[in-house]
Amino acid sequence: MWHNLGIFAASWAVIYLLRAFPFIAFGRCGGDRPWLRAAEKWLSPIVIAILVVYSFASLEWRTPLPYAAGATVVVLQLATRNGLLSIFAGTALYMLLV
Amino acid sequence: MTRKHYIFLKAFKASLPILMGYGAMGFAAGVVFSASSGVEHPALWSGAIGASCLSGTLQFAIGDWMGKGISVGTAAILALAISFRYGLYGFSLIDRWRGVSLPLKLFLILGLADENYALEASCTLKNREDYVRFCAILTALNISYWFAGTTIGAYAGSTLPIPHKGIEFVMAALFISILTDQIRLLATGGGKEAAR
Repeated sequence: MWHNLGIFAASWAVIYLLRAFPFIAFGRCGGDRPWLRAAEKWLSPIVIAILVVYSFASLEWRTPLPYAAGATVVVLQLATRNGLLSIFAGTALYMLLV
Repeated sequence: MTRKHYIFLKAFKASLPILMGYGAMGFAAGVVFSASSGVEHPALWSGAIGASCLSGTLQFAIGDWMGKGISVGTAAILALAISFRYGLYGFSLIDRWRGVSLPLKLFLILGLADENYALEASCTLKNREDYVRFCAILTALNISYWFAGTTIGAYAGSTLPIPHKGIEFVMAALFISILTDQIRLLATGGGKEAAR
């Protein structure tokens, strides 16, 4: 109970401070700088790419199943740009196969 | 129709796709949470986490952390890794939110999740008062959708026999869909889109 509350509180604080960071650090001088634009453009995709790899670690990654389901998500996302549809279709496929 | 009503309706209409998205995704996250966390009242925990953090990625992951009993420090590091992109959203809103009262700004910052941010960043209202009102209403609506989805999902997950084998793929699918959109934007030269 207390340990779970600790996990909850730490996660909440990290997420809130991340969201507040630009306002705390640059609130007085404005955020429109070229290097920030570049960071916004490149940093986030790189981090998300790492997270894709990280999330595969808890799947059956030695089998072709998560890759097939992952490819389904990519194709649907490119075709429809509907995140909800591609996420649920990919997950349903994986749940059926696994 | 007064200006306030107009802004409310505009925010409500903008939030409708998110009602679908957060309802369904929140429900799935709640089911995953109740299956992985092993806590006594999963609906209470899931709802509290959902309303205060407003993060799909965290909601899917935190049940696993609680179930495995990882240390608080490890949880903080993992939360930082999976939430890193939130630290970039505020930059484009600093100027548009200048002059907003502190309590309201603290509330708006709480709402800087992917979908909410996408709508706020792409909103074209010029008048600052209208724009801030739009953001506040949108944030309140979206938090309530996510709260409802995560609470109902966790309750259903702990009381109904919902099959959840393989449901952990939803995390990977979420990241893959975000990455696909980001790469498509980079490849097409970006431009402000009313994302997902």
